[in-house]
Amino acid sequence: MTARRHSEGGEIDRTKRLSFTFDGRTVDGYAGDTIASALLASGIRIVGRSFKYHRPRGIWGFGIEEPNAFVDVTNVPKPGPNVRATTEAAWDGALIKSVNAKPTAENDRHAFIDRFARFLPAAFYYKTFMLPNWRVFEPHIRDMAGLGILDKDWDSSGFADQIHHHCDVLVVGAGPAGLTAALKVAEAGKSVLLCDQGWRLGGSLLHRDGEIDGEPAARWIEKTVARLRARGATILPSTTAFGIYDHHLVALNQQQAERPDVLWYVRPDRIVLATGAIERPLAFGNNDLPGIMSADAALAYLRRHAIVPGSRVAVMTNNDTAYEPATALARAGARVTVVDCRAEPRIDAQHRQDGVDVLAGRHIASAIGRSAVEAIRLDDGRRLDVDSVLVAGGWTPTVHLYCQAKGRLTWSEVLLAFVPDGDVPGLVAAGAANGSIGLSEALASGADAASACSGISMPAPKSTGHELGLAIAATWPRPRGKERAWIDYQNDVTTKDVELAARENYVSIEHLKRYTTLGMATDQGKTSNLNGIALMAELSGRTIPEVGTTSYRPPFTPVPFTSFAGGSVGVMMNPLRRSPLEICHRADGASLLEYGGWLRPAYYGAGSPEEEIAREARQARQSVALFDGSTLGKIEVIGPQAAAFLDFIYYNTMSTMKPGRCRYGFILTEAGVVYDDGVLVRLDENRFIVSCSSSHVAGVHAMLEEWRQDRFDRSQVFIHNATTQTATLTVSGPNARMLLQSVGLGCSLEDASLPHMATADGMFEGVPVRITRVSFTGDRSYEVSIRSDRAEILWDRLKQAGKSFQAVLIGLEALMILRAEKGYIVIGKDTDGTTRPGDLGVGSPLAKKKADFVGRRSLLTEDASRDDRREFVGLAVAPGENPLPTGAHGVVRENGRVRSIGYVTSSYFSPTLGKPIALALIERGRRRIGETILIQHLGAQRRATIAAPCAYDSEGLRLNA
Amino acid sequence: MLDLSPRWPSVSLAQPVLAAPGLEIKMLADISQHLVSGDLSNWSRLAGMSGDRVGALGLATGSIYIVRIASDRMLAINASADAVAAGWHPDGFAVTDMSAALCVIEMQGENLPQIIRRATPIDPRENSPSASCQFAQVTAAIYHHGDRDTVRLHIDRSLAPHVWKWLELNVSTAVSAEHKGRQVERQLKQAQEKRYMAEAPGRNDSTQK
Repeated sequence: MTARRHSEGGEIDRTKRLSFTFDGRTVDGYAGDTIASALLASGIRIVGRSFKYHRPRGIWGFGIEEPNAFVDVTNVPKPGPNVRATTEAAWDGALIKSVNAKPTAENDRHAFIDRFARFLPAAFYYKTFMLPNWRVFEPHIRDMAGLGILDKDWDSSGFADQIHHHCDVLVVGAGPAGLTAALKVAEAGKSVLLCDQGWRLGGSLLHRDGEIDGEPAARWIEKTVARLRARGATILPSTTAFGIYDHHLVALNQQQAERPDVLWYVRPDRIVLATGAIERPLAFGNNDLPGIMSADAALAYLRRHAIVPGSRVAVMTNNDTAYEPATALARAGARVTVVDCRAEPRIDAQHRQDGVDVLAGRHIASAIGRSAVEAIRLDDGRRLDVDSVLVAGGWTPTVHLYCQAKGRLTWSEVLLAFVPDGDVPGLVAAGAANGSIGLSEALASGADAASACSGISMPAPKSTGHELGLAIAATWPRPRGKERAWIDYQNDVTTKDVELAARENYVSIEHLKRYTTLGMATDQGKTSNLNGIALMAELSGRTIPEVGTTSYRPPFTPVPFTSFAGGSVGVMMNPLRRSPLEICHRADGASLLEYGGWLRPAYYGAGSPEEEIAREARQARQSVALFDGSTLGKIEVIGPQAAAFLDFIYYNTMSTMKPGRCRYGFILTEAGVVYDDGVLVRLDENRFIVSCSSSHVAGVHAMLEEWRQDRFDRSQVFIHNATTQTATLTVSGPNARMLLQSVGLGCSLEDASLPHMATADGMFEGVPVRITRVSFTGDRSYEVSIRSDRAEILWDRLKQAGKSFQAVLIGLEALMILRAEKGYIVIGKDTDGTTRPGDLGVGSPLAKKKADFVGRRSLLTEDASRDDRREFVGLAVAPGENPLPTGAHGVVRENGRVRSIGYVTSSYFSPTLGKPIALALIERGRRRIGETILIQHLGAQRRATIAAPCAYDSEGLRLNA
Repeated sequence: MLDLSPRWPSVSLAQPVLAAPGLEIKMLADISQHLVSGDLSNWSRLAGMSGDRVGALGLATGSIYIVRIASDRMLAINASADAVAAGWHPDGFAVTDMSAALCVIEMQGENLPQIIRRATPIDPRENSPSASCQFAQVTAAIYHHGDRDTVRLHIDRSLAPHVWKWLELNVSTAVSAEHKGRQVERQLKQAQEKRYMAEAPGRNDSTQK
C-alpha cells in the first residue's frame, strides 16, 4: 500500500482533471496539484536518483526544502530543467522526466554504483582521477554529473519582466508572523510589500491547526489579506525573496505559469523577515528510502491535497509538534505508530484517543526496503512493518536572508537551533525564523516586528485554540553507525563522509562543506546544515556553537537565468550606438557591422565583400572618398587650465599649439602603455576638442574627468562629452577639395588659409560647420563637422556633388586598407597591452617634454627601455604570395625550439599597390628593416621581409596633392 | 562577412510616437539644450534664470528651465542664445551646445509608473538632487514636466534607437502585466472567497473519511 488520495477535501479543484507523463508513465491529477502531489497521489514513490550513488529517492518535503524531487519539464508554456516538483504546478499534457536517471528513475542503469559506495567516499574524485591525467576521465564523469538536461531547442517566447519597487516595509513570508507584521505596519500608514513563496498566503496556517481571535485560521487569513488589500499593500504570492544585497536591496523572483518569471528589485526602508522554519530530518540507517518524508510535509499533503502518504505509518520524533500530523493521519485512516526518542514525552491524552500508538524512549535504527521503505528496525531490535515513515527532528529557522544581511546567530538550547541574535539595522526577524515556533509566540513576534518598523506599539492577535509545545530533546546523528545514514540528501553526504572529513582534519565547517559537498548547490543546507554541524561537533569534541555555520549566500533558491537577464537579451543585451547617417547608409546598400559599440558600414554594394572593399579602396585613391566618421570622439576640454591639463593628459606637448590648429598625439595609461591616439583641435585659447577613437570615447571621457577632479582646479577646467552633437563627414582623396568647393561651405579651402592640421569655421545652408584638415588615409582629407540632426542633408549634397568627381562611399574595411598602406596604427589592433610610444617610433616627447604627463614614470623603467622590445614595422612578402595571416607569429629557432619574436597585427591585399601589405610588432624590428624572418601560422612557415610601416607615398606628397 | 543590418533594424528619430492604453510616448524636436559647468549661480544670474534646478523626477514647468546634472553641472533648456555662447566664460563657467547630442523623449499617461519602475531604479517617492539616472541601460536625465503624469527624458542621440526599441518592447509588457496583474488578483480573490465558503463549516475535518 502506498499513498492515496481522499475523494474529498484539500485545495484541489476536482472538476478540473489533468494528466501528464512522468518518465513515460501517465499521471492523473487535478488543478491545484503540484507535480509532487500528483506523483504522490498516483502512488509513484521513486521520483529521482541521488546525485552520487544513484539511490532511489522519493518526495521528502512540501516546498522549497525538497532535496530529492527534481524533474525536467517540457511541453508546457514555460519548460524548465531541474525544477523542484514540490513548487511547480502540475500542467495538463506536460512531459516530465526525472533527473540523474537513465532511462527512468524506477529503472536507472547507473543504480549499480550504490553497490560500490564504500569505494566512493568523500573526495573520491580528487584522490582517484589523478593518473594518467584528469582529461582521460573528464568526458565520462561530466556525462554522469549534474542534474537535469537543458533543452537545446528551447526558444524563449519573451523576456523576463524586471521591476524596481520602493516601499516603506518589505515583509518576507506570509505566515502568521508575516501577515500580522504586514497588517500592523500597513495600519500604521506605511506602504507595504508582502511576498510569500507559496501560491496561497498563510504559511504554516494553511495546514497546521490554529484559531486566532476566536476564528479558524483560514478565516483570519482571509480577513487579514482583505484588510491589507484595502490598505493598498502590494501582495505577491508565488514569490521568493532569494537575496539581500547592499543598501537593503532585496531581490524577489515571482513565479509565472505561462511566461518567464518576474524579477523584483525591492528597496524598502525596513525589512521584516518572517521566513519560517524548516523541519529537520533525523539520521538512521537507510533514512533516504522513498516513503520517508518530513512529518510536516505529510500533514501539508494531507490537509492541502487530501493525500494520505501510507496506511501503516511510523512517525519518528524528538518533539511534540509531530503529534499533530500523527493524529491527523490516524483520523484519516492510517495506522500510526509514533517512535518518540524522548524517554518520557508528555503526550496529550487526545492523541492516544485518536488511535496513535506511542513507543517512548525508542528510535529507529534503520529503515528496511529495496526501492522503498517496507519496515523499520528499532534500536531494541524490533521490526515494524510500515509503508511510510514520517520524521520530525525539530525546526531550523530559515535564517538565510538574515545572515546574508550580516545578521549574527546565537544557539538556542530551547529550540536546539541557531536563531537570530538581535536585529540588523533596518531589518528584523519575526516568527519561526526568529525562533518563535508556537502560534502565540509567532503572532506576538509579528506585532513586535511591526512596532519596530512603525515606531507604534500595537497589540498582537491572540491564538485562542489549543497549541502544541515543542519540548525538543537532542537527537543528533551518531558516528560509527553500522549502516549509512544520510545527512544531506541532495548531495549524497552520509555520516561516514563527515567522519572521514574529521579523520582527515577537515574539521572547520567551511572545510567540511567543500570536502564533502554538504549543504552545497541548490539545497544550501536547508535540511542538512544543522545535522552536519552537530555530527562534526561530536566528532571533534566541540559544542555546536563552537563549530558554527557556513556562510549564507544568495540565491536562497535557484533563480532562472531568464530572470537575471531580463530584457538584456538578443539585440538588447548591450546598448548599441547608431550613427546619425544610419538610414542613409542602409539606403546606399551598406553592410553594417558592430565596431567598438557602434553599428557602422563595413562596405557598400551587393557584390562579394572582398570585391566591394577593394573597389572602394582603389577608387578612394583615384578620385575622392566619402566616409562617415561621426563616431570619432569629440570631447571638449574647456577652461583657463585646459592647455595645462592636456599637456598632462597627452604624451605630446599640446599647450604650444595655436588656436585653429590640430596636433596628433598619444594618451598613455599610468603604465606608460599607449591607450589612445587621435587629433587634438584647439578652437580658442581655452577650448579644445579631444578627437579620440570611436570605441574609446567613454573610457577617455572617464579618464579625463578623473584626472580633472584629482589633480586640477575643478573650477578652471571642465570636460564635456559632445561626441554626438556633431556628425563628421570625411572627404578624402585627390579630388576632395574640388568636391567640397563645389558644395560650398562658406570658407576658403585653399592650403594657405586651411593647411593640413588646421581647422576653420564655415556655413552650410545656414548651419555652422567646422572643417578640419586631418587625414587617416594619407590623402588630402577634410573632416566636416555639422549638427547631427542636420547631417543627412549635407551627406546627400556631398553624394550628389560627388557624382561629378567619381566619388565613392567607403566603409570601415576600405579605410582599414588605406590607413594600413600608410602605416597608420589602430590602437588595440596594432598595439597591445605592452606597447609603449617608443615601440611605435615616437620617443622624442619623453626626451624633450618638460611638463609631467600620465605614464611618464613608467616610461623610465628598465622594462620600457629594454632593447629587445617589440617594435612597430611593416612586413613585405615575395611577389605573387598571398597576404600574411593576421596573428601569425614571427619566429626564430633557438636551442632546437621555436620562439616567437612578435606577430602580424594587420594584413591586407592593397588594391592600389597590387600586392599584400602587413603591419607587425617584431622584436627589435626597426633595427632589422630589410631582414627576412620566418612567419609561422598553424604549423606552416613562410618568409617575410621587415619593412618600414609606410608602404605607400612615404614622402607624404598626397596630403597636399 | 556578416551583415548585421537586419539584426538591428533602423529606428527613425523623426517624430516617432508610441501609444498604448494609458501611455503615449513621443520624441520632441527642436529643444535647445546646453551643458553648463562651473559657477552655476553666476550663469543663472547672467542668463536671468533664477528658478529651481530640477532633479530626478522633480517638476519642471514652462519651456525654459534648468535640469541639474551634478553639483557644478546642469542642462539649460531653451535658454537665450546670449547666455549659452559655446566655450569658456570669464564669469567662471563653460558652455557646450548639446541640442543635437541629446534626444528628448516625453512620456505621458496613467501607466507611466509602469514604465519608470521597469527602466530605472530611482525612487518615485522622492526627488533626487540630480536628474541623472540609468534608464533602460543608458545614462539619462529624467524629470516631470508640466504635471506629474508627464516625464521628460534626455538621452544620448546615438543611444536613442536603443531606448526607443526598449520602450517598444516594454510598453506592451508593462501595460499588459498591469492589466493581467489586476485580473489575477480578482480571480484569486474570487477563488479564496469561494474556498472559504466551502471550507468554513469544519476545516479540520475536511480530510477525514
